[in-house]
Amino acid sequence: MNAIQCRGLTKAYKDFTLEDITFDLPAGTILGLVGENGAGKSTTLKLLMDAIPRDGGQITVLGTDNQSPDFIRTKEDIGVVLDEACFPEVITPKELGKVMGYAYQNWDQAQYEGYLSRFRLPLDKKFKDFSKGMKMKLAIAVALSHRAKLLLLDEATSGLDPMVRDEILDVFNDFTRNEENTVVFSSHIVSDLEKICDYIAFLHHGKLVLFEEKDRLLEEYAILKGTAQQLEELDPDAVAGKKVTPYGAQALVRRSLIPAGFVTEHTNLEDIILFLAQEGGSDR
Amino acid sequence: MKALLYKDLLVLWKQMKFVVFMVAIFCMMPDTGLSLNTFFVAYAGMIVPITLFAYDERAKWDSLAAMMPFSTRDIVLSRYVFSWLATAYAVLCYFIGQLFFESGFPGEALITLGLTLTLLLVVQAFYFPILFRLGAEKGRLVMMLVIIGIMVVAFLGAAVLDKLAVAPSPSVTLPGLVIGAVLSLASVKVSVKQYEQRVW
Repeated sequence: MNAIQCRGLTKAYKDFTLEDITFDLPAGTILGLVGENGAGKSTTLKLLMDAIPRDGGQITVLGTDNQSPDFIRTKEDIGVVLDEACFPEVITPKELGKVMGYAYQNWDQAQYEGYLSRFRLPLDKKFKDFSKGMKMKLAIAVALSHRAKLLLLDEATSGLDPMVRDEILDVFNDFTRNEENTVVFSSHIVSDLEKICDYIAFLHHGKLVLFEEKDRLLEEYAILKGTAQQLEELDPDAVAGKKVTPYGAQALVRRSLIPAGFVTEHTNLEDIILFLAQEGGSDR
Repeated sequence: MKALLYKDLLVLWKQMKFVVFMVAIFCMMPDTGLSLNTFFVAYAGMIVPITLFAYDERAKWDSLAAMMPFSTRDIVLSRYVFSWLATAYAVLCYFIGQLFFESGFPGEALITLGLTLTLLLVVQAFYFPILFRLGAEKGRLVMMLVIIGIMVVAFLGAAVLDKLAVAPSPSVTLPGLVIGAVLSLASVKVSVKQYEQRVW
């Protein structure tokens, strides 16, 4: 079963258009949504939740059309963490638990208190006095305390120190131990995505440049170093992106299309994304 | 909607305790001819919800609320209900003041209160849809224009009634209140539409 089905999603603003986004995300997986600032990651997440009107396309989340009246009930099963936690400044975690208890039918107060304790968050401190890391942890505690089956995380680890980020990534990993649970995790910290994601979606200037299993990406692509002339001799389909400097040339290549004799190096997600972005995202 | 009302109540109590007490004191005060008590009834019904809009905007609460299991109608209606509750609180304080400091309810005081509530409901009915469309920050300038416009209409209406020698009486106040209430309910529908079309 797919946790998310997105078909031809389009949203136009004055100076930016999210164009024809189409993908299927199987349940029980973690999708990393990567792209530069302003690529359309947050817009996509808002559209998945029908929080903003769209101009075209169709979205099904956890089996429900997100513009049907039933979607309000489906939202009970979706935990959301936005890049800013967005809670009222004067509210304490204890009071927030009560507000969320009224908002979510499946609110689990014991689980919430468990996360507050795990994250070492004080019960009676006002939200405005929290550090950025504490704010994000509180938002994550809320998102995980109403028995969500889908987590939508918008830059949930941005601006956090590596230790806090690691701790939070562990929590998301734990969440997906239940095979029904799915995570969509938008970030421009590619190393975080590489650690935990099963699928990678790369948004570039409002277009979905790629949507692929992470392991397949890492298998399929490699780095080839040589001279500009050597790269010119390659099948154009084999080269997904290249960088030519006076000191040499590097290309992101598809292993399967490289003739024997060329020595390639393993690549990582960050290089793949950077090369594809430089190419203007025209390869897929 | 319970969650939204409870959240607003928490924010009001923690951010605006002073206002809650001030409204109580001024609404209970005996009338010295300045109608300060009825002014504070209007203040409670108008300024309290506007301030809550502003706090929500600062916290970006709307972005989160749109992701939560609330319908647009719930979000809009909760703010109206809260403003009606704030008004009811101020009216209750006003009644308590009348009972303790004025020994009863002079007809004139009730008529003034009725006219104030009518004006408040009309201002809310026109202004809330703008707030839901533009937000508190951008809506502030429009608020001044709406309030000035409605005050001018009210002033002209009062002048016309005066010319026709119609003194403020329950026969004027009651229909006014009914019109205000109908406008207020119709305004909820308009606000839902405006909130849906808001540019995010």
